[in-house]
Amino acid sequence: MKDFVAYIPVGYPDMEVTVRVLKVLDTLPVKAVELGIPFSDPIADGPVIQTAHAIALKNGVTLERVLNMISKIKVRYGIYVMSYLNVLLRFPSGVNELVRRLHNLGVQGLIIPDLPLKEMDNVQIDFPLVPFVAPNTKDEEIRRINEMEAPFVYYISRFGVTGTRWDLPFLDHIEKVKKTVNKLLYVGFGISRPEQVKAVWKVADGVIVGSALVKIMEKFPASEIPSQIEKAIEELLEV
Amino acid sequence: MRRGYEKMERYFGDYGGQFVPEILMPALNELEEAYDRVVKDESFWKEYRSLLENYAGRPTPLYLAKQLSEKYEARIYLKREDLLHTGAHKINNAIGQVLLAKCMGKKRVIAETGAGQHGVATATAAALFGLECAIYMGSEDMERQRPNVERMALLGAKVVPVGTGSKTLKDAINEAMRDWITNLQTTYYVIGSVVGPYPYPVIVRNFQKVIGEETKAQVLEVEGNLPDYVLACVGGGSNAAGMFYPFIDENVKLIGVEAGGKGPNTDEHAASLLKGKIGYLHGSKTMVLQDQWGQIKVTHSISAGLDYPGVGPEHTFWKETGRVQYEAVTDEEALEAFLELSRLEGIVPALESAHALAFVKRLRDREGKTIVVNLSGRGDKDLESVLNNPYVRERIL
Repeated sequence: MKDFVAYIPVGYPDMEVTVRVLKVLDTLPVKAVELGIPFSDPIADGPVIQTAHAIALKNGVTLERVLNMISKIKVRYGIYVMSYLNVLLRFPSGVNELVRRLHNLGVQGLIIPDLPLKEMDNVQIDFPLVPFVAPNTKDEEIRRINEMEAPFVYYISRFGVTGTRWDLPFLDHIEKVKKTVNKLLYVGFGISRPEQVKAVWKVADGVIVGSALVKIMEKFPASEIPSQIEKAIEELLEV
Repeated sequence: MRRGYEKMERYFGDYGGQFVPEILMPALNELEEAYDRVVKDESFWKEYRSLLENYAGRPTPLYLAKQLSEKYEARIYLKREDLLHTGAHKINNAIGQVLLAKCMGKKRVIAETGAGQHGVATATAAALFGLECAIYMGSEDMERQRPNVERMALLGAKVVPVGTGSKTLKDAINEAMRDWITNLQTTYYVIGSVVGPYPYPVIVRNFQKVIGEETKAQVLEVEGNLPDYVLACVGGGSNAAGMFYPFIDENVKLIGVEAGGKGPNTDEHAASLLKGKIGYLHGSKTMVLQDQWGQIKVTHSISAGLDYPGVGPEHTFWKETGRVQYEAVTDEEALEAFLELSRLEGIVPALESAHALAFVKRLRDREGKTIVVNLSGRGDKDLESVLNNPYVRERIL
C-alpha cells in the first residue's frame, strides 16, 4: 500500500464536523491531510468544493480559526494547509508571523493552487511549498522542481477543475514524471474510485482525494458524516 | 528560499504577474508566443486595421460638446467610442483577440461579461470569423442588462448564467477561467479588460490604445496643442488604459474615475484603486477590494461594467507612481451626468462613461481648459435600469 492523502475543507458543513472527521481520519491509514482554507473566489475548484468554500465562509471560518483548530487536535498524520494566495499574503499579522505559527504547529507545507512554479520566487513565503505539475507542464519546468525544497509534488491528473470523474488519461505521463522528479509524487483531481487508486499507486507514490469526500459531506446529515467518510476511505483503500 | 525564476517583463513595476493554476501556464506561454509573432506580422495589423475601419467604424469622431463646454466654462471634447459597431470601445479588443485566436487555430472562444458590452463584442467577432462562442455572465448582470443578453443569443453565442458568489463580473471571470482550464486545447479566452494574468493586460491595452492615438492626433489638429486633461472611467480599466497609454509621456493630466456607488466611504462601491489593498485576484497582483482576511468583497455600482473588485495592474502601477490621478463618483453623480449629456447634447452615454463625465463638474481649475472625456459606450443598454431608478424618475417623469 502507498500513500493516501485526504482533502478536507475546514468548516464544511461546520467546524464541529471538521474536527470529528479529522479524528476519524486518524484511525485510518491516512498519510496526510490537506486542510482547505475557504476563499471567496476559488478558480481552480469545481462546483462541489466551491459550495464547501462558500458555506465555510458563511460559517465564519478564517485562517486564524483554522490555526487555532490545528493547535488543539492531536493526530499522527501530516498536515498541509491548502489556500489561495491572497488569504495567506493578507494574513492580518503578516505572512512572516503566519509562517512562524505554521512552523510551530508542525504543518508540513503549503499548497497554493494559484501559485505556479514561475511565480514562486516573486512571493515572500519562507515555508515549504508544494509544486504542481500538470499533464501539459514542460519537461524543463519539471526538472527545475528537483532543485527546490518541497515535501511532495502534486500532479494534477486532468485538464479541469477539482471534481469527480471516471477516466484517468495521463498515467503514462505520471509515470514519466515519477522518473524525472526526485520527490514524492502524489496525484489528485478527479480520483473517486478504488480502481483509480490502484492504477495511480502503480506509477506514483500516493493519491489525493478531495471532491469524493466533500460529496459525502454534502449528502449525509452532520451526525453521519464521520462514519460515512470512514466507510468511503476504506472502500477506496480496498485494493 | 530561491526557486530559480527571475521577475521579468511580466510585471508593471511590482504589479501584474501570472498567479494562476500551473495547468494554465502552458496556455499563457502559447498566447505570449502567438502575440509576439503577430506583433511583427504586418499582415495581421493590416487586417485588424481594415476591420476597425470598415467593420467597426474607426476612426471615431472627437466632438466638441458646445453646450456642455458653455455650462462648465471649458473646452470639453468627447471621444465618441459610443459610435462604434456594438456601441462601445470593447469591439477594438474583441476583434483583435478573436483574430489572434483564429491565427492560433482555435475553434472556440469564450469570454466573461459584466455590462454585456464585451460579451456582445466577442459574440460579434466570433460570428464574423465563424467561431463557436460561449459568454459567461453573472445572473444579476443578466437581469440588469437584458437587451445585451438577447443580442448575444441573436449573434449565435451561448450565454451561460453564473449564479455563484456575487453573481456579477468577478464570478463570470472565475467561471470563464474554469472553462478555459478544462478546454485549453480548443478554446481561446478573450478577456475583456486589462485584467487577468500576463500577457492579457498588455494585449488588451495594445488593442485599445488606438483610442488614445486617434485622440492625440485629433486634438492636435483642432487645438494645436495637447489637452490639459484626459478623463476616462475605470472598472477593470480597458478604455482608460487605451486612452491614457499614448499620453503617458506627455504633459497631460490623466484622471481615471472609479465607481463610487453609494459613496466611497460606505461599504457599497467599486473603487478598487481608492479603497482597495494590494492583493491577488484573477491571476494578477493589483489593488483589490477585500476584507481583513483577504476575502474578495462584493462590490456595488449602478453600472454593471464598473462593478468589479479588482483593477488592471498597470493602473495600480500608474497610481503608485503618481502618473494618473484616480477619483470616484457616486451612482447619483453618474446618473446626473447621464441625464445632463442626454439633455444638453442629445447623446445618451453608457452609465460607465457617465462616471467620467460626472467628474468634469468636480474639476476645480477647469475654466478655460481643454478637457477630453472618453465616451466609452452608448447608453441604450442602460435605459431600463436608469428609468427605473427613483432618482431619475423624480426628475424626468
